[in-house]
Amino acid sequence: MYLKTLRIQGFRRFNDLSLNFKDGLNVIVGPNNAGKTAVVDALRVLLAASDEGNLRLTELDLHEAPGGPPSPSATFTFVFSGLSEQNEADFSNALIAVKGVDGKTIERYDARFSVQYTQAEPGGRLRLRRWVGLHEENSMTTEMLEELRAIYLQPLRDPEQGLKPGRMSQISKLIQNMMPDKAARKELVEKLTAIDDELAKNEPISTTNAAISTKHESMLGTVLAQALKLDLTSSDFNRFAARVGMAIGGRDVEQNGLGFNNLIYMAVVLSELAFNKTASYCGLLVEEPEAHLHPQLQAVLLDYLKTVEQPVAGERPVQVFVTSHSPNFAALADIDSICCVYDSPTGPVAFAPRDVAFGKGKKEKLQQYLNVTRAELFFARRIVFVEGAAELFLVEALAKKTGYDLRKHSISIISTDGLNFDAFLPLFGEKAMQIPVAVVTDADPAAPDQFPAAEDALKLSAAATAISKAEDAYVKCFFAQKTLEYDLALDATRRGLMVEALTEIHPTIGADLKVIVDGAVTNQEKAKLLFTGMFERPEGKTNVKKGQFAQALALGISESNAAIELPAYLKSALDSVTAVAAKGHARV
Amino acid sequence: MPVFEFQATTEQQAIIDAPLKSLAVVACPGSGKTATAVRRVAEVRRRLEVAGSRGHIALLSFSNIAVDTFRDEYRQLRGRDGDSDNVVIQTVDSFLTTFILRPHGSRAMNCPRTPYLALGTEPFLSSFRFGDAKNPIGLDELAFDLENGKVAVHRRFKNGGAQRLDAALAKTAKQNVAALAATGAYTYGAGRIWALVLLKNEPRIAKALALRFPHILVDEAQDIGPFEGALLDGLSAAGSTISLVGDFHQSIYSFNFATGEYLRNFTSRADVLKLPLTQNRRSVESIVKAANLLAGTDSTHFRTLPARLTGTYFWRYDLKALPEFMSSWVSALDAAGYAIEEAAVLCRGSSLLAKLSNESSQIGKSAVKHFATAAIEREQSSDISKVLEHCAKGVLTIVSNLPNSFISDVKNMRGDADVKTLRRLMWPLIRTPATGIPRATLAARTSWLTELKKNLHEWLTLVEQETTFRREPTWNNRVTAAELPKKGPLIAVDIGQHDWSSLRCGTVHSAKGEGIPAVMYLTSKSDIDALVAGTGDEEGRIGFVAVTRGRDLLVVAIPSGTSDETISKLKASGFIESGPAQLAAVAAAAGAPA
Repeated sequence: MYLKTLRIQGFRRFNDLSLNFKDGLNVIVGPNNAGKTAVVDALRVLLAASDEGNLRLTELDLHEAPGGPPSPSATFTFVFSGLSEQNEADFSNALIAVKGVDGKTIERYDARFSVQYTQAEPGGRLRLRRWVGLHEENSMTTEMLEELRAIYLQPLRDPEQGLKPGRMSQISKLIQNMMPDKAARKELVEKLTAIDDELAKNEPISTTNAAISTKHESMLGTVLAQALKLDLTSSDFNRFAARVGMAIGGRDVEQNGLGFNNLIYMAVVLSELAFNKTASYCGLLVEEPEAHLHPQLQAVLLDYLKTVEQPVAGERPVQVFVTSHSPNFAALADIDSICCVYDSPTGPVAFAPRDVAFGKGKKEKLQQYLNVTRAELFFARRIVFVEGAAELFLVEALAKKTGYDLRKHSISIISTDGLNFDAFLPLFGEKAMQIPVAVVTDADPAAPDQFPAAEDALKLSAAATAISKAEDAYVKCFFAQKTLEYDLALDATRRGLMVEALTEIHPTIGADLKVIVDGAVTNQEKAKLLFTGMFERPEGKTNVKKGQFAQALALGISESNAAIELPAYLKSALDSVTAVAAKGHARV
Repeated sequence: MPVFEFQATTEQQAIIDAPLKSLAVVACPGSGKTATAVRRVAEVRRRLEVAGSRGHIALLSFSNIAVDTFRDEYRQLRGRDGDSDNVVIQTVDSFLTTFILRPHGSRAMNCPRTPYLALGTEPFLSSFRFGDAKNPIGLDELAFDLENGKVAVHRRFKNGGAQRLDAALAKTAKQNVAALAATGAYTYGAGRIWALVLLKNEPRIAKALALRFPHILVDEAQDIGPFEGALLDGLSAAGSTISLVGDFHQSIYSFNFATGEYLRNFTSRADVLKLPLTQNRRSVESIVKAANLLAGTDSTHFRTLPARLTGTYFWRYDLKALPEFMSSWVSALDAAGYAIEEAAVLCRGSSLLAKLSNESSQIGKSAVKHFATAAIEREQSSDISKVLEHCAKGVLTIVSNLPNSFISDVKNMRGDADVKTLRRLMWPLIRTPATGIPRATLAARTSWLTELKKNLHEWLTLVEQETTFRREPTWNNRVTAAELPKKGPLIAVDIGQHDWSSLRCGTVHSAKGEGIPAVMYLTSKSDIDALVAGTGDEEGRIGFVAVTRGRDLLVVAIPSGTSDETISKLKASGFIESGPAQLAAVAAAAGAPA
């Protein structure tokens, strides 16, 4: 069985949020403060309920709509699906019937559990109720609660604390779990006591013991003196467990690196999974596993977490929930595993790319293209899509120069490498992630209109028309008259900078073109000449490399003191993502 | 019986050690079936645990007393509650409610909330009455039988007996039951039907339950009615192993259409292992012999005779001189060495009982009836939840716009804030007679009723202040003197009224499952005729149950005009003619402590 749906009502930032999960690995991503931790805490309300370090909800956790009264209660509804016959038997009172498409026949049974915290009196503790199935009158038994287990790995772990000897160390806990049988423990303690007795007979223990005891007795006298004994292993199993520490490659924990310590710590905690063999459901909640891990190790960890989707023989299936800030994780994970929690205009919303209907082959393309830099799109609040690296450099430089602070507005510029907008755009818009998106691309008109003037009406190519179909309330498309480089060349100041940059990388071509361009009259003419002179050179001559040129131009733009004006379409694009930002709430 | 004293007999051990298949245990009275059943369940549990099974075991009976006894015995045996051991011990009704009706019943009943039990006295039920306008039939009067897989509807009469409804009325009855179900309510009889409907409609739920309860042991299996039987069959078909423990001769709940047929048919199945318990460890030889003669059985006795007087006798009595007769019984008991706490007088019906205890079975009308019953039960230190229930019924008639599930909510401590407040306000009605329901020892028609009215008036004002509920405008009309005792109190003052006032008197049904050292079975003419006629019909079986409650001393009290024919049958069943004086004499002669 696996957790299919979690509905959170009245809890922290969430008035009413529903999340859908899948069997196996689920990666929960989203910008800061969107509520990823709240989602994990919501999961812990039911799942890690028998853990120590229990979640304690207070009235501060109840949702408060801005300017409104706090919600009287927080309710969490969990629906598990994929039940085996044994699961159905174990949770028979929790079963709800799920009807088929005809609305009449029962297709299957899911199990539903609800947990509610209500404010009983102000400033007092919250009242807790748990029930199962359809109605509140069916309370949840502790038996059922114990069948729903999860292991929780909190963010910012202190692995040293967990791996060094100590009562509360993870190692101590694990050892105690490994040997629950009283008889076996007794046997072990007897062996240890024998070792201690043996040691006590010899130096240095014997002499040290005698020295201390004698001094102690002479200080306190026989009546007040206490029985002192030096030993290594202690005569109590729990104290023995607390004394065990980990050596790594023969060295102390503190001498090991933070990242690797984190992984060891995780391994120790994950070993507890072995104890939940009999529980009907076992989940793993991991917050920000990337802490202290550099990208390679992050990939290793993610691969490991993926393996739980296909457990080896003898291992039980585990459902994994990971929250992450790391674009590495988002990029390496399957698109189907991702669940995005973000702020929409109407409040926090959850979105899963697996729910989007992609065209044939598009999803596979997206998975391929989703590298680390592009995975940033899952964490962005506003996005500008550009065609490639060249456009990326230029738009960034131009934006900065003309006073748009993209970082402060939390705007990500993402390159789709060659017009693969159709792989990315299905993720955005009214029916998907509702965040402001500006698509910056080229009209690229066909002959005979291929060198338009700045004031001409747009003539969209077939490709451009296809892209414009994606427009809706959130996704807006902005087209250069021809291409970015051409449009830039339509203005005198910008043209000057372009010629300078060209001369930097190709002195001869640059000098030649300067003369030719100066010889033309209209901006349109000049732009055409500059453009063709760089990128449509005659047979036998190589064109200027766009990427290289863009780099040089971007540098030139940022170093120039001249006042630069943006091409109209770029200004509209940047305005569209920043205007919303200006109006929106001040949460970054 | 303390657990360390228990030594299983051969028969009992055979049951405990039997293989994990269906058992039919036909158990004679006093055969130690509680101890045996509990140990069998513990053994099945152990085997399941060894096999690594996650299954639970259900041990079901039909009365709360039986369930409490099982739970105690289990706790003593295992040192922990059944719940922590995967053993569920409940009544059959409770089991159906917990695992079928409450979680899933709303789908069969088509209602938007958890189903709840309607007791029958709720005012809203009146809108579901049907039939002849002058004598409408209420849904709580209906009893259901299963004939050839079809539901047959009967109307139960208050004085016993039932009448089958014709096709048209039955159809209306079913429609009304369905309409009631759509609001979320069910009566006892209908609840079982809905549970059966649910299991039939959703076989996966049946499968889930059978997997969860791979073993179900039903005690008092002679009380299994047609619907419980069908439910057990359904679970059995889905994979559960059913075992039954019972005695056909003790089937006394035919108003539920439980005739012992199910147990009989079950016992005769080829795949069922028959392991009877035939040793009566409760009663002395003479009582066991009499029981055998009445039922045509062949149980053996176990106990050796105690020092004091034992035996099976019959005495004649005069109905007009009943109190004196009771006093002589008490004296005889004393002479024979029995303390009054060790004795009981059992009657077939409540009318004879009423003559003994000077209380009316139907006191008062409407609100007064409920408050009066609450007062009586309170004074008799009954189960406080019963007192609360009667009080709630009374409140239901004088406060308006209460939710339909009010009584159920109050009993189970549910309901919204208003209902909870009302429940809190109701408690002082019971706890403080000065401002609530007055003591039942006051003169009923005068002081008691007047004080009740005054207190209720003030209480209703309080209710209106603290909740959104309002008094019924005509509430005063419902608090009338109708059917209250004309003079005297609701109950006789306990101390000192009669020397036999602390003698336990009850119906045979109330003593089911018990063993009482000295029993008097007080009979009317029809009762004694039925007793000697044997256990072929229910009346005779009721007599059989009365007789087999006795451990040491059993006296059947017969009306003075009983026919010679009946008397000779009585003697043939092992009863010796006697009387209070003779008994005392015999006791003295035997040197029993005086």
